[in-house]
Amino acid sequence: MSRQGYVKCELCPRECILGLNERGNCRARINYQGELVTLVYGKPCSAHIDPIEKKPMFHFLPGSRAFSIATAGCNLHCKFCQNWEISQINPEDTDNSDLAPQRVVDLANQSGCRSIAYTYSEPIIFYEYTYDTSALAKKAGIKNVLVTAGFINEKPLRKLCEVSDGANIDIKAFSEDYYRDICGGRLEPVLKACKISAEMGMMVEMTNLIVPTLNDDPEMIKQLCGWILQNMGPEYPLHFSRFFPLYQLRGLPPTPAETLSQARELALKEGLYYVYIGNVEVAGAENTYCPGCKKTLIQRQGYWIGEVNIVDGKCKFCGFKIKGVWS
Amino acid sequence: MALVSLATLGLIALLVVSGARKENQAQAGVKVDIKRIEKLVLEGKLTLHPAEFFRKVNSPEDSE
Repeated sequence: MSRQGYVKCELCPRECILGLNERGNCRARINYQGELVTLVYGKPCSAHIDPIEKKPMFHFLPGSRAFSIATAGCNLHCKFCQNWEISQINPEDTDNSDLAPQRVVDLANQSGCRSIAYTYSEPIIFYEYTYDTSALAKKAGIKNVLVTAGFINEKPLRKLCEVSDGANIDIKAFSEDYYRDICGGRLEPVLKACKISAEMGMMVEMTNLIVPTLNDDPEMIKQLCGWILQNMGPEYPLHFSRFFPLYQLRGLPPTPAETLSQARELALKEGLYYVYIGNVEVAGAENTYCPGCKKTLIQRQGYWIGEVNIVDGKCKFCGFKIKGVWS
Repeated sequence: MALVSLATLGLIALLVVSGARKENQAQAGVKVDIKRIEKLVLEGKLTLHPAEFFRKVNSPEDSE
């Protein structure tokens, strides 16, 4: 043990330094007897079976189901959090199940899920649980999907990418001010996480929750699209998601459908191939269209999907290669 | 007078910056009720599982 018993967590960019019996910003990691320990390994507070489209992952085994788990805690503190009842609470105050990694894999198998999603709160803060479960799932032929804000340091991210197949990464806004004031975080590490995850071969999709008056400026959305195009490529899907007044932002109205449609049009005009709208029905805005021949490849409505016109990862009509995990 | 105003502005800026830092560090370093946690571990509701990606340091200011 060091002289004073302090530990410095290097999992996420916060790098909390904790004295004995102190808790990290994420709520899930504490300094116990001079060692950093996680309180939530194998102790999820949520476990459900969801359509993969709910994550949202639109280019990842469409129509399949994902065994979805979460523990209490988060390393961001978004004022609009839709899962604040589990993300902004201590693990000792949630009702936790006892689900060891192998049990999660067995349950996913038994329930016919083709993937396990680490989701709802923030998989980075239950890192060891996510990693060990993912490694076992991979051996069992089950894929792994992270639904994350991507606020993680490079070294742990690279290790996690080795056992993960896909990720939906939230880009809350293309603004450091927004990250600081609304989420208590930083944008730069998140962009880096998107880039590294894609470079390491994961199927990355991104979500931008548009909050009226806070991050709905078309110029900001244009900058976000420009960054994706320049650093990742046009083939990585972007989802614009509708905000609903929750948690600490109850005074704002839900995002108008028109704002989301305009954002989608802008992103397509900028050159992104696959741009979707979520949390509201806008005709055709959930479908996948071929960037080559413009024909409909997958028709979607909510979590319902129609015929998939993708064969061997290519458009059935013109042969254009479609980014995704299709089988 | 101008100097006083400048000092006031500086003080306000300092408060804003330290306020933002405090916001970012919300919850970090708060003492836990270790007896309660140990009890919940015995009941199977929590674990004290070794975490990865950390190192021991000598003080809260030690960033090296």
